Amino acid sequence: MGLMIRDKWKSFVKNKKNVVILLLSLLVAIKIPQGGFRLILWILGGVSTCCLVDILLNRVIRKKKISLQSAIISGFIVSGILDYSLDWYLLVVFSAIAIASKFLIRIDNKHVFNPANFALLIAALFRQPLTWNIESNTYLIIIAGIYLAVTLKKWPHVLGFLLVFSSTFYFSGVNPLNMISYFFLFIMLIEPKTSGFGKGRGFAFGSIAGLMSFVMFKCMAQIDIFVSSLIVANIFNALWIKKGQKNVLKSCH
Amino acid sequence: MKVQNIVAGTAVLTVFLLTGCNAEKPAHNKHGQEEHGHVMGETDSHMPSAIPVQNEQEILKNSEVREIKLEAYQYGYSPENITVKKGDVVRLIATSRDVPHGIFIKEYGINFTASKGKMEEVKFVADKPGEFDILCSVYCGRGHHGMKAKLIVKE
Repeated sequence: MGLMIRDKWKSFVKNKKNVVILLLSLLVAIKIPQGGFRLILWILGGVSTCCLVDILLNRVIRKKKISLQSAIISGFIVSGILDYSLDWYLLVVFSAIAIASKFLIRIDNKHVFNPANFALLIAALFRQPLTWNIESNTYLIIIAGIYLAVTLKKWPHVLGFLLVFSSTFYFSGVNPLNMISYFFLFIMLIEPKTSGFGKGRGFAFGSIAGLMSFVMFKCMAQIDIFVSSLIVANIFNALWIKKGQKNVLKSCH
Repeated sequence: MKVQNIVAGTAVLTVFLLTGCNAEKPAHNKHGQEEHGHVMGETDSHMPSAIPVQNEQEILKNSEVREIKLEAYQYGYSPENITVKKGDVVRLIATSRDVPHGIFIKEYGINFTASKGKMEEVKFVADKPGEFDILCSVYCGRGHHGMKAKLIVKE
């Protein structure tokens, strides 16, 4: 019995999306005493909208069945960062935008932007408050985040971000340890499909996000500094892939 | 999709960002009130007035103008509770002790940024009784999610 449970746990943890979902659920649970019943409904609303739109778009466009783990994660992030006191229709709209962006903004059959982050940028541009309620326990995020960064081989992204973010903020007189969002660093920045692989590219990706966070902090802090910086880093990643493909084609000719 | 498309996409995003930058302006609206019909600002006369100037003057005549100074800091507001009477015209003057912070009151349609060394202000009529959360809408650090104050409008 004990062995069976251990095996099941091992196979559960082997899939890193399960670990992320477990972490997000715990973070929401920690916030429930403050957020109450509305927070639970808000998160469930975000997750179910993302799942429904994902199922619908996959059936219509790709005509295939899919795993809903990515949609669940997107739902958690959108609803966990968007303030839960907002109107319900906004949650539905931004959750739907998150999933739709995966299908609409693509390069070479791969989506460009972290879906939840793209929706949150739109929300920020329309002056909707991003209160980051899901960032309820820093220690839990750091412990799980280091595990995810190492096992997903995303530590160059984390290091690049930390180095540039810390130095720019420190030299401008702001304590970087107070300003940093560990949820952004360990959950959003290292999203596998839109952040790219490799030590050099990962480090550059993280550095660009770190630098853009500082630029946004200085120029347009009202548009979330992390959300906007990740958009720029995602564009950089897409351009890098495109450039790499061109070089391969040239060498073939 | 070609690289040109990405460049076009980036251009669209830049326009969006600039739009977002301008979106701060309603807090300074001169004569009128904002879309929710409660906010009266100071400097920009280009914004449309939802409530005619005549009405604003009537409100000012019949109500008491309450000037309230609000200081935001990592991670709270001083004072924590703002109490006004229903019908008061509230002149909320906000600043920040450290990094930029947001002042968001959903029920009154207020959302603006308070920065260090700057005084931002917004005027509104406290016409809805009750207790309303004042939340920080600009990411300000690890404790951002718990940053809160209260606007109490008494009957």
